[in-house]
Amino acid sequence: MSIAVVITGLFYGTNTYLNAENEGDALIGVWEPSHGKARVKIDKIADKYYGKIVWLKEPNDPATGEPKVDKNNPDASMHNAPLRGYRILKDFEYQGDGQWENGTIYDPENGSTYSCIIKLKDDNTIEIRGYIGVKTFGRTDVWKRLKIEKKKK
Amino acid sequence: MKKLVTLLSFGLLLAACSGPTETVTSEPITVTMTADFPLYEGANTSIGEFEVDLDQLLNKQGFIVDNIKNVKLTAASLTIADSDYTGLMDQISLQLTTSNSGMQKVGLLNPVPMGKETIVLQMAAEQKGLAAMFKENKIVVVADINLIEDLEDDFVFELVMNFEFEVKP
Repeated sequence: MSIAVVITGLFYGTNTYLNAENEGDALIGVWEPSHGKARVKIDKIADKYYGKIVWLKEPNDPATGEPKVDKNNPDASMHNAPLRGYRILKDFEYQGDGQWENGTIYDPENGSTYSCIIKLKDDNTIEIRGYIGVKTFGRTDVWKRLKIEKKKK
Repeated sequence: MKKLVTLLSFGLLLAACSGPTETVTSEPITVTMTADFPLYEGANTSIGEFEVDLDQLLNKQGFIVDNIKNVKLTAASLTIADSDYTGLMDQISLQLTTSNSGMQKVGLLNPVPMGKETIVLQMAAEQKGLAAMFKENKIVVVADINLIEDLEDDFVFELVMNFEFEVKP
């Protein structure tokens, strides 16, 4: 095998890898679940994807009038964690073909964490499927991408 | 009776296999945490990282990583680099993650007291998977912070963490 063939192979291999990396970044952005009660910003940290709540339709707890906190967390020491800024999507890895796996989704309404997969349906739509154990037994929600306009000074 | 003896024997065997452990307090780990400009009022993210050097952390030469049985963050405090920005952050959640481990929430403070130079975080009671993180080369520290107003600058703070290791001697 000639050196040229090896170098060409390396180039294409690296290029394919980089393309896969960039494809995964299609998930980065601000998304709104179908219920419209929250907005979730997905970003990338150390090659994995995470989503945190950045907006709540009802930011304050009607019972207390104070900003909502994670009062249903199974760890009582975390009950005071604010829901705005809470990371509900964790540890997603891009698997190629518009799909992210090995992550979890947290439901603050009941304090439960579910296994989760995300599928990109088109540039502005994702399907989020939370499940326990087997992927068959779960629930799918459709999230839409929000276009965020930067504040002007 | 026979079942009881079998169970007791099994328990004793497990105890013998796991062996005695000792608790070692690590040297403090200092991480510079940065949330990059531009920053807006509300939820923002600050990130830092540190290399895992167990010999240095535990003051032991040639420490074998498999001897780590459990790790817990026992204390975390932060100092905001620019004193003009103290009072800008009113909430913080602290998490750790690595390439091969899931993100784990380890600390929190809500609300952050105003006007203090050093801010001490409250530790999570449940801290899972930290031992596995310390078997990797690098740990990423993620702090989700809430800012009370926009900031046209990076928001930087020094985070000091103390860990407690349960190890086989």
